[in-house]
Amino acid sequence: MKLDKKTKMVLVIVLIFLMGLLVLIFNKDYRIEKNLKSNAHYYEFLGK
Amino acid sequence: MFWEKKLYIFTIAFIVGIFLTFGIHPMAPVNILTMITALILIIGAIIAFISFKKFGYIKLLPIFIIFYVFPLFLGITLAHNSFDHNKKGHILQITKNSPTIKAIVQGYIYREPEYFEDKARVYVKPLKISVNNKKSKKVKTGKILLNYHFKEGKFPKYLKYGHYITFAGTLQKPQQETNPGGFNYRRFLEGKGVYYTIYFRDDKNITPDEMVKKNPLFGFSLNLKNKFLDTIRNTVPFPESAFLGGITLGLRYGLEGVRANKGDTYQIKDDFKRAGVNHVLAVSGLHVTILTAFFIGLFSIFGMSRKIYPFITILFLVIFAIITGGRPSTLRAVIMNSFILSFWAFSKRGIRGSIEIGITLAALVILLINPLLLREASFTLSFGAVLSLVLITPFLDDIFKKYLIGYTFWTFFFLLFLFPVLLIFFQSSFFNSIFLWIFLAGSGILLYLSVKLEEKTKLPVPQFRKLPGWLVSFISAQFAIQLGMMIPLSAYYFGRYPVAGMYANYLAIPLIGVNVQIGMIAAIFSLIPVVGIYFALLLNAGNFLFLKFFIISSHWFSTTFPYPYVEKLSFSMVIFYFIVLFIIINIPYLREKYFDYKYYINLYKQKNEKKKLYKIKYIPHLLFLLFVLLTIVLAIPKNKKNDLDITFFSLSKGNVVYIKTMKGRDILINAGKYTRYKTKEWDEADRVIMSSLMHYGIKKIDKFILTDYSTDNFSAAPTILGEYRVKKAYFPTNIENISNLSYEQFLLSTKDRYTLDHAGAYWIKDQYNRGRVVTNAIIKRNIPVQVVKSGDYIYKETKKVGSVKKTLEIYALSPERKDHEDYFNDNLVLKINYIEEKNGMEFFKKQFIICGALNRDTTEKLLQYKDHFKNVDVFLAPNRFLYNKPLTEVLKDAKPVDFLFHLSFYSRGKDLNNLNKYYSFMKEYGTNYYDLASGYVRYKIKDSKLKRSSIRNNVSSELVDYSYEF
Repeated sequence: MKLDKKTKMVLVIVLIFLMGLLVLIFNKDYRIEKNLKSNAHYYEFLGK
Repeated sequence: MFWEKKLYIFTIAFIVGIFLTFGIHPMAPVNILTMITALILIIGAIIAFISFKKFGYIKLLPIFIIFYVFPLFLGITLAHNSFDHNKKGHILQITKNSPTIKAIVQGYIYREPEYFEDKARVYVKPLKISVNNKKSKKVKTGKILLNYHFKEGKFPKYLKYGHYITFAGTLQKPQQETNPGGFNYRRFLEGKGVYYTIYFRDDKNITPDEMVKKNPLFGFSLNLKNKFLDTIRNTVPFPESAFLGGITLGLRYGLEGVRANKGDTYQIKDDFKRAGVNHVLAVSGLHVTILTAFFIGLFSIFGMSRKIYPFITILFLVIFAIITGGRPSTLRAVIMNSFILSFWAFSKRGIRGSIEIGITLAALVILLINPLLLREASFTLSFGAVLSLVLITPFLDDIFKKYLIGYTFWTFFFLLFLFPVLLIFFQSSFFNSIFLWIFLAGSGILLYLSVKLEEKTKLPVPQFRKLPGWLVSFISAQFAIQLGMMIPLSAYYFGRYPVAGMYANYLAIPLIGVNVQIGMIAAIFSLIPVVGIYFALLLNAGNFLFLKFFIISSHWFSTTFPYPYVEKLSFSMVIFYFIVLFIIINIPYLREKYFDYKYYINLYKQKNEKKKLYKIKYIPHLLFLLFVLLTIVLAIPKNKKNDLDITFFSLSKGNVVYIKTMKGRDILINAGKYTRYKTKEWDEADRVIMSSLMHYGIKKIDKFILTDYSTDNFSAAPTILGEYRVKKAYFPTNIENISNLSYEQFLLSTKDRYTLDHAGAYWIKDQYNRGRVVTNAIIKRNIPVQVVKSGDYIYKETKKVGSVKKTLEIYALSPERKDHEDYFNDNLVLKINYIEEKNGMEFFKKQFIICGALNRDTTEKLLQYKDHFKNVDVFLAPNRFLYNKPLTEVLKDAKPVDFLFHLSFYSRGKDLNNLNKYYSFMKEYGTNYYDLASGYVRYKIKDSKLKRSSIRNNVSSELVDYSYEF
């Protein structure tokens, strides 16, 4: 079954979303607060 | 087609003009060249006009003048103009070209600074400058790089794009290469229009002005960048966040000091370099193309007109260029892609035709603005990559599709997989040996035989052309990049070839495509208020797997494949390579257009014109023979063998010396400094010494001599041991014992009061720690070790040339043989003698003394060996010689012709009295003195003459090419 470009693109994004969901479910450390903590010294003087 | 061809010729002639200037500058004053160039254009235009009026078309002569001669002179003129520092308002004219000068500068920050963890490179366009407290003058040309070091979190908010500032301090001209083959920072910055640097550790002498000059588009883009950076920091953990920030926002220095795993030898950025995927961190053509393809794909899916979306895409690309710091490589890619998109939107050309014009226009526009970019590696690599893809890919595509069928297909892919297996198992010893040539020749023969077999048997499958189109193009493109860019330019610029890149890029390029696109989509989603950040988190959590995989796979490639040194190609060899490549890829075209070989053979046979037949048959063979001879002439190294070649490197404080003997032995004394503080690493062996060794074409070290375990001389030894094959190592004490000693036992080997009082100091602990690392490296590599004491010979060689006997000997004057070893003070002092004798009579002798780190007691003990250093020619002072009083007594006996030392800026200021005493002493004895901190010194002996060459001839002088025979 040959898919058009639009469908392919949507499928890829959905796939990435699903992979992301799996990462968030199985990796409890993958959270905004913990990410910010690990990035404490990463260009903290830039950004907001 | 006519105008396209003329555009190509115009651009090539323009480039040749700039190129010529690098060799012939200064040819003439800029105003005269400008007049000549304008005159040529006017004459060409007049003749073209007359020709058109008279004949109804423009003849060859005016076309030649306008499209060949005029751009050549235009290139020469513009390049001369860039080199002209005497024009009014040029910063060098105002400072009278001083290497250092006190100044007060008013200016503004004209581009986004380059940010590191604790420093920033701020690029300032000066508007007014006042030097040595004189009246301020307007500056028209020339920029300043402000290096600002700051404590964590204390970065001034006003040091950003668009802000006006006033600052006072000492402007310094950037360093030129201080070692052979070293990096010429001054030339690099000149390519960016920067002529001075200034250093600040705080903002006491910087005053922000209230005015801010901001282009609205710049301001918007940089705000967007900060928002995107916040998104990354929220949605991706470190260090994957640093990697994503590097490839999407141009924050490439976020990975400084970061390792994939704790305890890894190499940092992530070094893994990328060794795996040949380092280009992903240099935001340029690849990233811009990924984004272009992404936007075109997106807009075309939503049905937007082809005449509209290219311009929206160009706008996004411009924003991307600003976000990523507006680096020259990114700007090149954006200009190129913008031209390509415009042509593609409005002309009937396909993508390939648009690319050819786009590249040409981009090169022309960029060089018209800044001709000096032509000599920068980033320019040639960037354009080299695109030209390789455009010109070589179709040729390889045709070859692969024509020949890779059946047996040939299997043979080709079998060889492609065999090659990495051999590399992994045999590492650099396979790559840098005759076996590589045997493998290549054998592969050629095997492929030829398989083609012949396929012609006879016609096995129909598999066929390369039947593979998916995207895979066919991708494989051809990878080969094109290797042939057109990686092989010749890695050898020319870096002297090292990342073989892993041939394979790693099959993974890296698709992965980067995913990482950049998902990263950008996530960043755009995060702009949605409230919920956007959660969408971004989901997307980047998925992206995280690809980011992690990229880092892990690069690490695997880096540690599995070798990263061999290769012969650094000369410029003429690179040009020759490209001429040959150009001929090869154009053979089908040249044959068809200019020479139908088979037709003429048949014609002359029929007409029985034997003479012409012989000519046509043998001319190709003669041409081939000529080509082979030329290759041999270029390939054979010229006989530049010296009887002795000694280089004293320029480092921060270490005494590192390289010796090439008359029999071609490579001897390295010491390794330089390695320091690591938190994430910051400084390795002199990697950054300084190895560049020079690569420049000299060194691939192994016959003798590696360590004079002591001081941080300055010894601590980078593990790098040398890891990167080079060392045949034998020499130490003043038994280093292998260190692994059996505790730190306290190591410390108590000395009775030196100063050392014992500083037992906890990092430089003392460093000696112990690095000593253990070196011991492990030596044991792991089975390197034979010799402990050297006073009177021991390290090396001796003799060569007879006619009736002259030449002898080189290296032996130790110190340390003394004792029952008990002192790891801190039993340090080597080496004597090198070069002697020429005829009929047993010595007629030429040169003597060198090389000191490691010495304290006062050890220096005093040297006086017992007076006979060995009387009237020595070259004396290399021990580290920290200013505080070594007994050294002056040694020097009174030695009375060296040349006295070499390292003097840090700190010492220069702090201990002027001691320094002046040495200078008076030198003047009294007529000794030449050289501060190696300012530049290397090299001695060559040939034909019974000793020639010295140095970058600088004393502490405060400007760059001088100083050659002296004595």
